[in-house]
Amino acid sequence: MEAIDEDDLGALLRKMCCPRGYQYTLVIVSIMKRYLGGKLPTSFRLEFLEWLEKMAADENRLWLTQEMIANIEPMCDKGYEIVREAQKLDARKRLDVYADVFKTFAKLNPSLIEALKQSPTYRKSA
Amino acid sequence: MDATPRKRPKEKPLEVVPLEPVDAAYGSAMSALNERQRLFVRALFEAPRKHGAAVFAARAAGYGSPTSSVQSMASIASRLCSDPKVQDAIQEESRKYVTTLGPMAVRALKNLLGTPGHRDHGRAVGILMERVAPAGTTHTVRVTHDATPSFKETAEVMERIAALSAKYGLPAPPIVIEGNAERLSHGSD
Repeated sequence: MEAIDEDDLGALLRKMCCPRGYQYTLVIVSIMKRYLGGKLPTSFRLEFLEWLEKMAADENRLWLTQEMIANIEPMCDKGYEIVREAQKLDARKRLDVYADVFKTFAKLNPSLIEALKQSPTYRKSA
Repeated sequence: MDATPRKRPKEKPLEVVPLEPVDAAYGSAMSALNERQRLFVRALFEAPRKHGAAVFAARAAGYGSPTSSVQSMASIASRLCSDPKVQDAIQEESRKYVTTLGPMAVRALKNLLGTPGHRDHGRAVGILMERVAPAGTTHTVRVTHDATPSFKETAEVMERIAALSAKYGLPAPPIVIEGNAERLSHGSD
């Protein structure tokens, strides 16, 4: 996956009119996949996986598919450093931060943009 | 009540009869003894009564002199009986005697079986039946494989995790053993 320039990313997101909700959802998916890639108690592992399943099957969230989730790479260490800083805030503000710095997350993890491009919402317009 | 121990009544000393030479080959333990020791062992089995058998055997084997006292003969017999080589020979001869007594025992049992009026006739019949047709015991063992709910649940959870992991492009989950670990000290710590 080739790295994308931050300006190009900004232009792409503007062109897509990508809602902030989509952006932080994808960031959360990459965080979840990071957790699932490591050592985790079985009960938490199942809970996280069920959460991913619920996200993919949610009828109110048709823009997100199982394939998109499967193609998102787990968050890297640098990205997780940002997450740790954001975790100091309350849950609502945290999600805003994920959306605010989505471009940085996408630069560190280009699979987020690739996943976004696979979304049924953007496939139709493409 | 009389506290003094009762004395054994004096018995007439056993008449010693010289043993006849035996042509049969001796066993390894008997062969390791000298001639007098061998005679002593043989005489032990041929003593006419239990009490004083060792003294009788010592005399029969030629130990002591015709004038030796019973005490000195008892001392000689005791020394012989405590000799490991003699003890091995006694064991060897005992096995031989038991084997040769087999036909006698069978004959006695046969006589007993042929005497229905004998008080031990029933026991003899029982002994014989036990050997001819031993009581059989049948064990019925039913093995039931029981998968407890928790075991089944764990298997189902692991299966679900594996399926979801594969579905969302995640590696197979590592096995995590959950529990409490206790640090153990060892040695002089």
